Amino acid sequence: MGHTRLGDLPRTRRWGEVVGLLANGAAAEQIANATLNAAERGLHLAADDKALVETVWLLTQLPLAARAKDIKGFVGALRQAGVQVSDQPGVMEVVGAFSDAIDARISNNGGRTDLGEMAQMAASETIAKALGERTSGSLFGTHTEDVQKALAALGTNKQFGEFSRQFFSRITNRCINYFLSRAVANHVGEGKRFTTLAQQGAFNQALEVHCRQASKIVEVFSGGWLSKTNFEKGGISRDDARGFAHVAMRKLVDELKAGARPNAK
Amino acid sequence: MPNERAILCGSATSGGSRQAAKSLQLRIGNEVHLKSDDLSRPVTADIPSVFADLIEIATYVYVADQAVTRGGDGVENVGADWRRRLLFTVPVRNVKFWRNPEVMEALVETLSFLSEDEYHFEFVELLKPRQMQQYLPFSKTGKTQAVQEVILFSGGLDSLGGAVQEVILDKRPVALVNHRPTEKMSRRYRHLQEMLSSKARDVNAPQPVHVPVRINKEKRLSREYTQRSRSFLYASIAATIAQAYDLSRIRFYENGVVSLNLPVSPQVVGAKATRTTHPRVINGFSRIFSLVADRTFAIENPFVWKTKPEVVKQIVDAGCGEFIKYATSCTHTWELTKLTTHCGTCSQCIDRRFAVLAAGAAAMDPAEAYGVDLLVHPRAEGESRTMIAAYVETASNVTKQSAVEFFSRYGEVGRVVRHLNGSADVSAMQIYDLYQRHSKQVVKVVDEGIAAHASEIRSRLLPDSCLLRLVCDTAIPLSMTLPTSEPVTPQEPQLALKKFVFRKKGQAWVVRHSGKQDFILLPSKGAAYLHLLLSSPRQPVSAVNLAFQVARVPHQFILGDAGERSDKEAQAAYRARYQELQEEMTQAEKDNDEATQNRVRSEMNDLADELKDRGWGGRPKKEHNDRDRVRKSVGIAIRRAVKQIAEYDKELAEHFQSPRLRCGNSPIYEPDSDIDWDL
Repeated sequence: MGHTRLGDLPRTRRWGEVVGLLANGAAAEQIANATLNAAERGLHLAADDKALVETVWLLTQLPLAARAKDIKGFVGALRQAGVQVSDQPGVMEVVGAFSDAIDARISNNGGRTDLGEMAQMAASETIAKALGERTSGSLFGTHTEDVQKALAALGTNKQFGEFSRQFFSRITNRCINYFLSRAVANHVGEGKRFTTLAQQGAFNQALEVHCRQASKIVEVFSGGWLSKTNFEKGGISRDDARGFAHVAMRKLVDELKAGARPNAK
Repeated sequence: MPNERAILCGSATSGGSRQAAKSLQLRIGNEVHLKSDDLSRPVTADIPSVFADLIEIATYVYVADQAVTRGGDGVENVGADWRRRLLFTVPVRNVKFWRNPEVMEALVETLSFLSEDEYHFEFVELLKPRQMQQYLPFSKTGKTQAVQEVILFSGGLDSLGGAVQEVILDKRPVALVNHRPTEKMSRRYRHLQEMLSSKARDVNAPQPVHVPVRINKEKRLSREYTQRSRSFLYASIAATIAQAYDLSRIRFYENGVVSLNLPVSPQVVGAKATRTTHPRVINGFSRIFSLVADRTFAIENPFVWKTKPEVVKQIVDAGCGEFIKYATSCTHTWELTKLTTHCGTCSQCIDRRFAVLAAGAAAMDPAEAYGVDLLVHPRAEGESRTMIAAYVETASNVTKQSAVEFFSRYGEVGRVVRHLNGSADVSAMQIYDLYQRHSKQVVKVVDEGIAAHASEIRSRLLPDSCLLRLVCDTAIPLSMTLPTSEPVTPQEPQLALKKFVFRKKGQAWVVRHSGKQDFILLPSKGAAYLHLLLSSPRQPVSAVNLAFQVARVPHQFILGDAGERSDKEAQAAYRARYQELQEEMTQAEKDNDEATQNRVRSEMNDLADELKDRGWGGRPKKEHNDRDRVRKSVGIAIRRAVKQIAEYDKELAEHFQSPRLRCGNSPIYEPDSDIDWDL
């Protein structure tokens, strides 16, 4: 019981280059770039993953649902989007119901890839962080009013931009590490790239920071998109979400390839 | 659909309305055999035939799961092929029941989450049903021993903890259902069974009833080792046994960390971490079995809020510590021998050993039984090292995380919180607490290991790749090494670089242009030629000479010597260089330039000797196209290196374009203004 399956990187030229860069001390930015180049074909194939689209669509529905004038309306709007919460949901119930809603929509795994799975997890993490921070760092025992207020706050251009940036930064970081984690530990030890696991951890942190810096471009783009699309179309459709996800991911990947701006916060 | 298979079960001969490119025939009694080893104490019961259907369906799912491979490990297509599309056609006794949408939905929903595959079932009439007695120890007459609980007993540490809890501590009459995958495991299981029975006698507890069930299948059907659906078969058998005892509950005993199985590494996505006893799976099984039994059927995991060290401690405290060494946790069963019962490298072995050490039970679990010692043995590159690194790093990180940080790092918790008893908030709090406890237990083992082996670590007596060396920097005095529980953010050493750099760094080149971010250029002939050209700016260097210089001392240009002897390009470079020298000699003879003649002669002799030493013969014969071939290959190599540079620094790649860098017979680097390259 409890088996976990790990794998290696293929021995192709592209992946060999990633491993070579890892071994030879290349910076996180360069390795991220090489990884995305090597993974390009697979990521392109997975870009239409239904779970990815559903995740992005549901993320847009949270702040819109929270605009309801009272808790009943808020809960009703969540349920209408497929997020089956109780009458008085707290933070963790919303996080759980959000994830369950995606699973329910993509029943029987039809068309799923690991990219969709990573998107779903990244979204849960982003919601937990956004709500945790906006409810005084408390995830447990939060009142529904506070949850609604925190989600409603995400509906402004600035806040949705930041929320969206968090999500795309996480999914990108997860994606890069999805590949790199198959090789990094082989470069730990005396005389190797990382002397200790702690140094390997520092490298992972550098990658995370790089993804966060690069995702600044998504923040700017997302900020106006939600309110503009919602205003013009009277709601956000799954097709809108698909287009939004494609553009955001493309911008972010281009930025990562070009090298992130070092002064972005 | 590349990873699709029609599974034709029993007498089914076609996939009905579904078409699949490939099909697999599975027949119980032919390719697959399901039986109980021990029929000495049969259970008297008349089991509804729908349970026989359940067991057959679970058997087919389990065997198909092993017979159809998952397509690689996800790198090429981001896991698309990992998820298979399995189209089952299953003959059953109760067609109407299994075609019921509610039953179908419960089955598909549970299995698709359990193994992350796509399931489709078509149920058809079973013409020649087998008797349940052929699978399990049932009899319609006779006396049945009283049993109050049916528990799944894999023979691992957690299920041993459960058996100790039920049989020894609570003194309850229980049935232990065991699914035995291999004969090797059976011997150890029997020993454990005898010890449990003996201990039960000592404490005046009822003797446990053992129900071992074995599946044999043709060897060709064992192609995929992940076996994600195993717990469905295992639970289905247990539920049928419970039904025979008129019970409406079974128990799994699995520690919470493994049950929730949050990923230890970013590459572990979805069911790459098993969901064997995930709360959603448990609830799904409960839903299926309730429909089958036509009454509420519960499945419990009483250890869901315990860590593995806590389970081990409970076993020891119950006076059953000597059982531990007979419990088997390792999944690499093919590696096991009588003496080495655990590989020490798989996730289960690592988890088990940490638990035993954290519980202070090392004496009851001999270190010699592990192929690789947790703390001090070298770990091979690949899964072994990645697994231990990921396990320890995860624990080390979790100890430092606040609740918000934890939940914003493990999105997988979202899949759990609403599927446990109690509110989502309470469940989340308990999960956080569980992981904090477990992580601290793991970190404590590492810290104690460092303390116990301080001298060997400092003096580098331990292998480089053992866990204790991986967590300690021996360049720092050990007294200054922080315990792993302390927050540390070490920085990688930074090189002090000039504004323009193209020089060796380890086994590669470090490159920097105009003071921008430096980057690594992997070794290649093109990079070596570029380096030579940058070293002599504004001076044409013949392509032959460039190729010859690099071919002569490949180590100097970090190309290594692999395959050098068969390197046709290197031979061509030598021949072309020899040809150049011959031409120089002819000219020197015409000019009566004796000094040049002597120099060229000496160089030609040296070159001939080198050719001999390399096994390429002596003085080379002239080949007409050598110089042209070398010129072309030098140009291609330089352009390839520039293309590589473009991926990391477009401006520099642009800088290395004509007219600043020109190839041809005599490549030359002529920057617009002088650049002080650090070479």
